[in-house]
Amino acid sequence: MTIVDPHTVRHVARLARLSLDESEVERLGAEMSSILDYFAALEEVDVPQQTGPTPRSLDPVLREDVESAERLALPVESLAPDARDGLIVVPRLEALGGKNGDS
Amino acid sequence: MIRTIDEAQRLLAGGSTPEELLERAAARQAELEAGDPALNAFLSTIDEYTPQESGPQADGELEGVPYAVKDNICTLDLPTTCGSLILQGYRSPYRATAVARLEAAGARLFGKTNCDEFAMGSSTENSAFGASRNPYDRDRVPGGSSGGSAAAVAAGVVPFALGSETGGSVRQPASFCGLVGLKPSYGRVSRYGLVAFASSLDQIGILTRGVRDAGRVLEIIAGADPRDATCQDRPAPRASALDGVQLDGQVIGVPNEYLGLGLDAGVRAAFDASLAQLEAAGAQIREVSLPSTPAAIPCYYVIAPAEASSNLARYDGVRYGLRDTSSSGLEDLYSRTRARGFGAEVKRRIMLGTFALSAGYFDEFYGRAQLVRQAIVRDFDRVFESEVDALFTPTTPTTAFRLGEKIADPYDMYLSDVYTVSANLAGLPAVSVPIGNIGSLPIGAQFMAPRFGEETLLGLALRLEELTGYACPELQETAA
Repeated sequence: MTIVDPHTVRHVARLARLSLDESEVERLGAEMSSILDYFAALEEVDVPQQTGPTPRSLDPVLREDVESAERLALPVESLAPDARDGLIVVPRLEALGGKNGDS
Repeated sequence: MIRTIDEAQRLLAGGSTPEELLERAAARQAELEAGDPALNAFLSTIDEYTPQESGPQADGELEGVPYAVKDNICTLDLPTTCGSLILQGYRSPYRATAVARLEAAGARLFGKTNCDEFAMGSSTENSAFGASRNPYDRDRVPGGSSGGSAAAVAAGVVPFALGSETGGSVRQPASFCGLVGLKPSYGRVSRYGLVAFASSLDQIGILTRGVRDAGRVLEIIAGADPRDATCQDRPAPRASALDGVQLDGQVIGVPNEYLGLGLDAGVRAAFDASLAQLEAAGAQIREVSLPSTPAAIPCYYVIAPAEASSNLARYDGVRYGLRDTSSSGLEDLYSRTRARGFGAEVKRRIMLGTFALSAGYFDEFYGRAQLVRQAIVRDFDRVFESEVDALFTPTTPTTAFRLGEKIADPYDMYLSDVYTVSANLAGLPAVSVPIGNIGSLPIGAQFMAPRFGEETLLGLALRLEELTGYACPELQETAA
């Protein structure tokens, strides 16, 4: 039986970049522990020794690897609210109230 | 109401314009939304019907036929929100290949349908924009996650709709709403423009009132696409081939693991009656075993959330939709935006998936689930190679459940996919067909076939539809 304690929930939430309040930490810990209980059924199956590609016999359909003058399928301007000189303009970190180096 | 593609084409042949058909869809939609409670099948609809220039499209297979698209499939004309606050108002700069092919065939988009957030759910109750309701009983769910598409077709707004399947999200709502729900083989229909949930499982599907319409739409949207490397270069299944499939001589397997605990007695009785009809019409029925079935739900609920946790990492407040501006730095921006933008079920699955992939748990959960997935594939390979031509099972253990009935217990909700997830895990085509009803509530049963066996699959479904006399119950308006 796997118990997902509050420390683990917070760790996983950090990995998933999700900010959780304390009530969510408690609720998710309980729900995840209960769901993982059901996952014990995974141990009851006679499985092959190693994994293979799934679904089987899937052949990736690849295009020819040639350089194209078009770097994007669509113009940059259509992909973002603001673009300049072929580049997407994003907000400065300072504009978000943050300090540089946080990432 | 416009129930079928044929009906739409008869109206067009009789002089109606495509714009008049869209207006007809809008009138039906308005009638349903005026109900108390409203059906809430659509998140957005086209509100200006500009006549399209006739040209090379004028003799398209679906010229002028209105249709709907689940809101996790990209369109140019309407937003694509995936039922999520994090993508509220988002407009895609490109359209899905399936949508482009329908438009090239002349079909006209009427609206985008409600769904569980990022297609995670079995009832549409996880939509950030309110649950859809079942047209047969508005106190009940239409199923999910393509519940809006199912409700829209069942209520006669449009004759067909696209949905998407990751673990049963087309077949389960089709079963709950008295429709045909087709999940093609993995690799049959391009996923380009289908917003990714679990990329090794996702596939665009079709909801219609009858099998022939599903076959006609599949023939148009199927086939290789240079924009999706997993989409196979094979000829599209031909709708005209369905009539060549006869029941006589077909061996149809019934896996005993699908008739166990949790199966409603009324659903079982309807299923048994259909089985008897298939047998009387010449099919040979054989009991088979798929021993890995009990692990299918846990396997799915490890693999799908693991892939989702990766796919949904892109919603970070920088590139799409919602951005939390109270943040104190980049990491904080990511975490707060995601906390505000994602609903409870999406957070639960991201957490489950991240957990299953994290150091210390990877082998026990994700690694093990991949092996179990292989075992499930092996089970199907064995029965299709040596025992049967197709499999036949109930689509869902029960008819449509009440709103709120399962929302408090996530695992109970997950179990409503118990008969559908295996086809996704194995990449098989499957189709749910209405076989009867309990009171006002429809019941569905599904065929599953070997990979890329859609012509046989739909041919069998068509024969069953003929035998059951088109078992989709007449819609009694349950709310004014």
